[in-house]
Amino acid sequence: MLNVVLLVKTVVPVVSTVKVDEKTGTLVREGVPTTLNPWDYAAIELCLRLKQEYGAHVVAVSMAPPFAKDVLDDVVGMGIDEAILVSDRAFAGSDTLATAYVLAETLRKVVQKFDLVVAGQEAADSVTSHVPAQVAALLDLPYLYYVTNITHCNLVDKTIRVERVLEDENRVEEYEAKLPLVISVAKRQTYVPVSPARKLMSKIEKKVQIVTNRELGLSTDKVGLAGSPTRVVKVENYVPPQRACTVVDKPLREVVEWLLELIRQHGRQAQ
Amino acid sequence: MGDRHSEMSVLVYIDYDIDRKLVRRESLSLIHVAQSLTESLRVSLEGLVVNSPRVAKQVADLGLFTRIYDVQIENLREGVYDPVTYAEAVTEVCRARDVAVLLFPTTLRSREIAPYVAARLSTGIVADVSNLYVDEKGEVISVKPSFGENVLAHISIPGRRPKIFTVRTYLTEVTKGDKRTEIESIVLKRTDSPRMTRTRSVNIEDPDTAILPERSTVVIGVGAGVLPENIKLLREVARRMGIGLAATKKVTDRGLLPDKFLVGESGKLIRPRLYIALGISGAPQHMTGVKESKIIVAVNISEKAPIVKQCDYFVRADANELIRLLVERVLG
Repeated sequence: MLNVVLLVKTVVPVVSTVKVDEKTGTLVREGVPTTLNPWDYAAIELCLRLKQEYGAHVVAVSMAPPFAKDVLDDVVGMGIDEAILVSDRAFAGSDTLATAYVLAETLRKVVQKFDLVVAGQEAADSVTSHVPAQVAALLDLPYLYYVTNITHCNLVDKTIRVERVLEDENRVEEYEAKLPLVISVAKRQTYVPVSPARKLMSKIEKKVQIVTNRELGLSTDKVGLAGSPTRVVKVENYVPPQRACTVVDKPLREVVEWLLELIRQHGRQAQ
Repeated sequence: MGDRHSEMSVLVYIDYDIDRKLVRRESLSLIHVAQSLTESLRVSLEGLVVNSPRVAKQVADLGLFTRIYDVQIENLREGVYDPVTYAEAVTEVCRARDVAVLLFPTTLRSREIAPYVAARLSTGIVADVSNLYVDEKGEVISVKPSFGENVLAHISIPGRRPKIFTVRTYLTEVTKGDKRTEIESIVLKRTDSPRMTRTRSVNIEDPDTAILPERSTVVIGVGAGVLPENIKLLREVARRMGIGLAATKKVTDRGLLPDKFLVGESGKLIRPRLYIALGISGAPQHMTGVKESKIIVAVNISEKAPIVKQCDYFVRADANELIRLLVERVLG
């Protein structure tokens, strides 16, 4: 049996609607609509494939305010077995390290048995890619980023073969690892539909378990703002540099000739 | 692990092409940020190379660093790679030495290792900072653009050591310095057998690919206003003319061009002599990556687009129409 943890995140769809708390410099997430991080769909697809091919049992885990429960019911509605929403006022204001600590402790104390942790490449709103790596480091597990495929999984000797693409080096690599392992799945535009019937069952059968710090018992100086080593000192409005603009008012064919001339003047391939 | 050095340092993680044993340009492009930080903090500038004496020598010969740590791992051949072994090597050096600030470039391998190291050391990490400075209290502050909210966030990591940052910079040619660089070899013992092995590494260079945005003095950028079929055509036009191609996040997020063409806050920073922005509205997320271009020409259907105030020449037109004419003219 392959036990899989799927780490998911809720994000703010239009980031510009977010207010920054002036005192703490953190995002004010209350009252802001959230959706599933679009880059998590590739991770969900991979988990559904692991269910099909290896009969994997998949638990989604997310740290978020209570209103994220609906998003996790969606995730179960997509075909994931169950979910854990880790939510507590004490966790508010956590940076990536404090978040990873809460998630790692949830895996250790609540999930307990797992062979593989799967996450999305990055969150569409913060784009750091930190948390999966930090969860791996805190659990003392190997970690691999940018995974495009699991090519083989041996459930008897608990080994796995994965492929990843490093786009900036034009390189495909293959790794063999002993389970457990933490991977994050390369982002890809994809979508997994929610089955309304499955979502309803998730709500009726309470497939989303809420875990608070009562269950986890984490020291409050290791979570939330107090447990976050990074501090936002100040936030300044960004004003893009302005240029004096000349409007080019010519027929398009002439514009093309003018552009080609500009290109000729400035064009020399650097290398 | 050798004698403990009492002096503090700013340490730069030198990422290199593991298979070709060549330093990645990104690793050295952050040298200006690193240098100004060492001057403000009055500490020395050091570099760290894991598992390649050859690369350590290459970097030492540049005369930019006071010291290069040539970190070797017992029984690990050059060219053998897995991210965790490398991250653990960086972690061990940071535990043994007095590293005030640890800087990583934003290559994919570095972005994989940096947060792992941070968590191992229970310290803070800030991703993709554009600048670092020291404030009046002596605290290291990073500047991180967050253009979804149109702000620059100033973020510190008070009271921790090392403070870890991944630094997103312009790719620059590095000129040699005059420092006498000491190479210090460190051999780390392996505590357990590796739990992960790289079993295959293949180069997938596509000979027909378009020119990367940082590789040309003239770059054409495509935004959400350009139709997918026109992006394909433009790719061919740009390749034929030897000019670079750039894209906004909306374009790469839709998978219309690979991430290596992404320019802006979460992509590359470029400063070509001529930047031609087609169907790009001018959101700060993208414009921060091209703001140092010498000339910016914008083609947009709306004269109310924010890019109008950020360009030198504005053509009010449907970029798709212009591309059609350009294709006719260049491809025949």
